[in-house]
Amino acid sequence: MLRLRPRLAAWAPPIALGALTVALIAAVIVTRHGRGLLVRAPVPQVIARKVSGVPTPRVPSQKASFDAEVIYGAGLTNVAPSPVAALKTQLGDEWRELGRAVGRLLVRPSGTRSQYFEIGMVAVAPQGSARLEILTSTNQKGITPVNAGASQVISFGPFLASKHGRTGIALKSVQPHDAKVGARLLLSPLQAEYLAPGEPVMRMPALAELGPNGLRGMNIPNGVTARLQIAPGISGRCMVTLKAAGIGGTLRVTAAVGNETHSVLVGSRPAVIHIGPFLHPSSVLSLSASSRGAYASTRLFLSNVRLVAAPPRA
Amino acid sequence: MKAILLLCVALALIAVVVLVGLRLVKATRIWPAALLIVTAPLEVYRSSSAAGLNVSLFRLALVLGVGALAVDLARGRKRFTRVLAIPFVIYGAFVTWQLISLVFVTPAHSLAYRFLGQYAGGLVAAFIITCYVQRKDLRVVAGLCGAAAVLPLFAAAFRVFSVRHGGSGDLPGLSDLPLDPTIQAARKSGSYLLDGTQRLNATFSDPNHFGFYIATVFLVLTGAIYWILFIEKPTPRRVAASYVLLATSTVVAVIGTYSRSSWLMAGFGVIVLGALLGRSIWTRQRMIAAGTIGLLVLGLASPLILSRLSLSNRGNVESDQVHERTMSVALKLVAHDPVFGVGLGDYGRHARQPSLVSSAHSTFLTVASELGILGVALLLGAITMTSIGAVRSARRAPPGDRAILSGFTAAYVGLALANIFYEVWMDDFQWILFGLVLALTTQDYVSFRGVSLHKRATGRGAAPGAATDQGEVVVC
Repeated sequence: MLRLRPRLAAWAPPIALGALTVALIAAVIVTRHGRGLLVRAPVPQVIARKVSGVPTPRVPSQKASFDAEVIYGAGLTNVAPSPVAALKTQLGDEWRELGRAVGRLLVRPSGTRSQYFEIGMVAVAPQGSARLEILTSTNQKGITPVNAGASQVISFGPFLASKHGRTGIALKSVQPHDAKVGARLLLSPLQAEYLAPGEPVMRMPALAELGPNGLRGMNIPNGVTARLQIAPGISGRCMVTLKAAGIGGTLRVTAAVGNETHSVLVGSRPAVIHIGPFLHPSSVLSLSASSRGAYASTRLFLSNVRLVAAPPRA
Repeated sequence: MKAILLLCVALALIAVVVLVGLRLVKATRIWPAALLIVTAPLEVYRSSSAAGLNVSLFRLALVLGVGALAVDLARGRKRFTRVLAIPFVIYGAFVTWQLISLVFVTPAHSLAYRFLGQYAGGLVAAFIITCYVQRKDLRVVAGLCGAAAVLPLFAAAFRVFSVRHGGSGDLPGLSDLPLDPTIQAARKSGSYLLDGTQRLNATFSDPNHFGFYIATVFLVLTGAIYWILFIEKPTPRRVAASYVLLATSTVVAVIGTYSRSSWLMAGFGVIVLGALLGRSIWTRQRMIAAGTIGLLVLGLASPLILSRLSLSNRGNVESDQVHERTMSVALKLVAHDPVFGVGLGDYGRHARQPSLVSSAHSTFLTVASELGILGVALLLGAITMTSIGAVRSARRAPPGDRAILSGFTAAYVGLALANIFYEVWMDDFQWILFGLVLALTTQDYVSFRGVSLHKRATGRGAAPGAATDQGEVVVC
């Protein structure tokens, strides 16, 4: 028996390598059949349904805005009910739980295919504050804080879209002040849309606010500046076009692109306005509203914001 | 600082394991080269330093290797000869041309510095290997190459099973090694085909790079297996079993990367290896046995391979379109400025690639577009001269050496060919393979005593790493 032991020990390397070989064969088989790990999410085509007992939310329901193809993978397989009852009509009742593991998903944005896209979602941190980190397969990154308790509307972008159509996304919850794994997060069904050149990253369409004449967009309170990330693709002289209306009175809208600022007056009736021209485009567009009367309730409603090439000089 | 310290601790642990292993085979004198061989595939274990430089296990091992060489030179254990293998001379001219491009041509200085550093560091690594490895270490080095692949293979399986069980698939320790976000994304998130199939990427950021590395190890091991099974008498059964199982693991890993370029490399390398082994050793029985094994492997893997190669697969179509576009952009840039090119590291800007990327998906086209015709001619010249010397050396070596040398040569030639369709020439393991090929084979060299070109290395005064066909080596 004692003589056998050294012999057995000498066979340890081939035995270990045999185990490694078997593990690798199993790994390749798992990867092949691992496509089953990716759970195809039930994508609600129309989520504008009324749920009895739920008060009508301030934000209007959206039609067919979840038509981006989303395939949830490892780390996002746990489905949870919506933690915010008021958002069930907009976002549905199938949220995803992001735990300690990295959540992976594939997304094909909706809309006309272009080089860039945006992703929007609502995140809730039920147990403690965290930061949501996003990495795309096109090597782009974003990070945003998610405070405990309250729901937070998040928009990431503009991200470079994969040329293969679907872009891989990795989501991770990290601690507020370091890179360690953060608290559990609940994520709403996400919306991804292609961005045309010069189009800004806005709040997710399902949560767009209702304005005059049925317009959907966002409100900017008097005295507040909104900074919007712009999808690249515009060069040379450019202008800002948007449909806007002053709610509660006439407002002065100031747009800043790079170091240049221009402003125009906006009345209470929705109208398409052009601001500019600006000599050079920038990745950030700042829009602010101000009124002489300074009524607290006065606000600017805007939609269809876009940075476009300025017409050539006459 | 914490990241650097962690890397140093990891390197110290690796060094201990390597020294114990080398002690068992009585080859501790090659430890600087062994450390480079083992750390080269641990590509993901790196971090950005405060100065903005990436510090990796391999680069720390390189610093250690340079220090060891300096000490050995100071103590008289090694000495420099006034001769240099011709591939080194050509690469020297190539790096000089890169430097000229960096200073006078390119607007992409940041990337150019990185590329230049990668080539210069790689050449230093190759030189250190030629200073420590000799022809008599052939079998040890082949075993070392196989042993170095064990950790990456283990990591490849670990990542798959980690994801399978709901984990992140990240390798241990990576969260403590901060890196540029764009690189970190690739390092941590892995790679998937469009249908969701996870690709093996082990200790590499990119499964294609892992595929090239593991195909290299497969070819080296195949040569070593031939030596063990058919030449070494009596056949060491345990060693043979270990080599066969490790080679099987590498075949599985090559398939599991779903990297078409590395499949090409492995396939072409096997053909080169078969040709180099010669007709005399290809008896009818051996050919039938080899053919049966090959068909069996292909048959078992055919569902995976066919789906990946299918022309109707949308992922393949789109991937091919991307490659065609980057290659056509490179050709247009070459036609536009064939003399100087667009400048080192500036191809990516012309092809509208993300920051830190400048690749035409072909090493030679990228170099041609960035450095012009002269640049690509120098690179091709270095590769051709190395390959010629290696092939000639393998064909003239005694049977035992010939099998293993053929493995190294086939890997080098296969890697060079596959770089027509992908780009891994700046990878650390490529420089290791280059250094090993130079150290183990007979290369033409230039003597700086009156600058005369010598036909063959024949003994004393040979170029660094240039072995004679009888296995005698005088290096430093």
